[in-house]
Amino acid sequence: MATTHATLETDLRMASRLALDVLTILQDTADILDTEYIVNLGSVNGLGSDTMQVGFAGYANDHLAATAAETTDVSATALTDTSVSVAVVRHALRRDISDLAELTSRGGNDVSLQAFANSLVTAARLGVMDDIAAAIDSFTSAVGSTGVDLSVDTWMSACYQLELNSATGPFVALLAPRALADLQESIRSETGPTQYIAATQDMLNIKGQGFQGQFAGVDIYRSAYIDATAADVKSGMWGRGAIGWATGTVPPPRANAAFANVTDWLAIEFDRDASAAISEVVAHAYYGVAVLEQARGVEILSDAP
Amino acid sequence: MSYEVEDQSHLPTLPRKGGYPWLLKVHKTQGWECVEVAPGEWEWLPRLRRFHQRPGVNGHTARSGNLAKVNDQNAGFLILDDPRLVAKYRKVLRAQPGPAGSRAYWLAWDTPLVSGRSVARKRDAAQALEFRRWLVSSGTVELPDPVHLDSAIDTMRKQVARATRRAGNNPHLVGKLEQDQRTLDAARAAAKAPDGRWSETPPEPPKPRRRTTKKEAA
Repeated sequence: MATTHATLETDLRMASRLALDVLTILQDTADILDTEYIVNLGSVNGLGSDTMQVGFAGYANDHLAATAAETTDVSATALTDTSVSVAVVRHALRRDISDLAELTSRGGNDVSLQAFANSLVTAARLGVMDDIAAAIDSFTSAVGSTGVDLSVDTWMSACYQLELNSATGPFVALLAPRALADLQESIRSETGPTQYIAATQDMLNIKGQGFQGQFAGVDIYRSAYIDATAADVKSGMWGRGAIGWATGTVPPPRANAAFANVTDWLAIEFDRDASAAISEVVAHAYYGVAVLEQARGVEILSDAP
Repeated sequence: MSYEVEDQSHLPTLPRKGGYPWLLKVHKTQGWECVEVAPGEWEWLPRLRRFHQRPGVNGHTARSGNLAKVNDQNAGFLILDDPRLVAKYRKVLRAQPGPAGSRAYWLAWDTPLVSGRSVARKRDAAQALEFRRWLVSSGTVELPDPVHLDSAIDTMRKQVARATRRAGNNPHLVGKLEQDQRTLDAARAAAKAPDGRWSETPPEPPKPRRRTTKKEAA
């Protein structure tokens, strides 16, 4: 009788073994935090409040007016002002791993305390993207229609809206994957000199992973975190100054703990429950995102995936 | 304040972590579109937007959403936060636990269809449309002055003008152009109507041919 795999199971052969590498579940990991399109308002550390009130003064809103006579006594004109509140809140994520799970880790990309710590940085940045996408739904202007593909017409309507508002460029669009696909499809049927400039390696090096190209002078980023309902997705186009974020820095602990401020708004620290033989890694991010000026942005409605 | 009003425990647990709660809002002047609610019947209806009750977004703190509400109200939004209204449009589903909790917030007229790790949304479009119509007919949201609808009409007019230049003999574009032109005409007419509603006058039925009398025949 021949020696077969079946007869060797389960003493000398296994029904299945773990692959050497652990792959990552497909996920959009791009963010636009380091671009110029999200205004960094700074930190609330030492501010006396967790909420930053961003003031706007209309210094040039009022123009010099002609006087009735050359000796008319000119009265004072009140300054136009407004403000927006940006609340910085705590965002946290904790991963625990038992000692046995840690010591049997095969290294590399396998589950371990270090792998958890590494992934928390990406998780924190994607959390901010989620919040930016939610903030977009507060742009007062909206173009496109529920349940209708994003087209070049809608795209141009968004551009016109920003220009009508005298919004200053450069403009950026954060599009849901479906919206980007529909836009490219619509561009295919355009005639004339219109050109979609796809992202090249040089552009990606400068603008980062989520950059998809440029159309009609507007940078395009794709994000899977755009707000979606059953009928539509709510992408957005805006100019610099439309959306901002404020942050807070975690003060380092006084105890002798493993702690690192990864960035000025994200801290990662390790802790251990010795009696339970469990190690934990915790990320804390303090930030808040808000639409700063409505007129600088426009929401782009299009059909859902 | 709690708005959880519906027990959805008979539905399957969603395979994703829960999300943050939200309310609906509409913009009083800029968020309107002309919709064909029935064949030949058009109405200006508000677009539904979301007021995210999400700490860290647009002024929401972990304690209160008042600043966020003020931010949006200053921008012209009407937030539909009356609990009786919320009960009409939102339901709470169970979801896998996550950092944002184990509840998922869904529109009342959407139903989850779970397939493996993905969730499709099945929409009862008639119910969704009915809610938007009800917002206007009940007076919850007032129809804006026609002046505010002008910019939406103007955008449509420009798209029709552009499509007219491009259409040529392309039957697909001509068909789309005719549809866009019809929508534009309806939007204009509905904007002039005091209640924002407009019905196309049905074409007159063809008159029966008069038979030739014997005298005329002779």
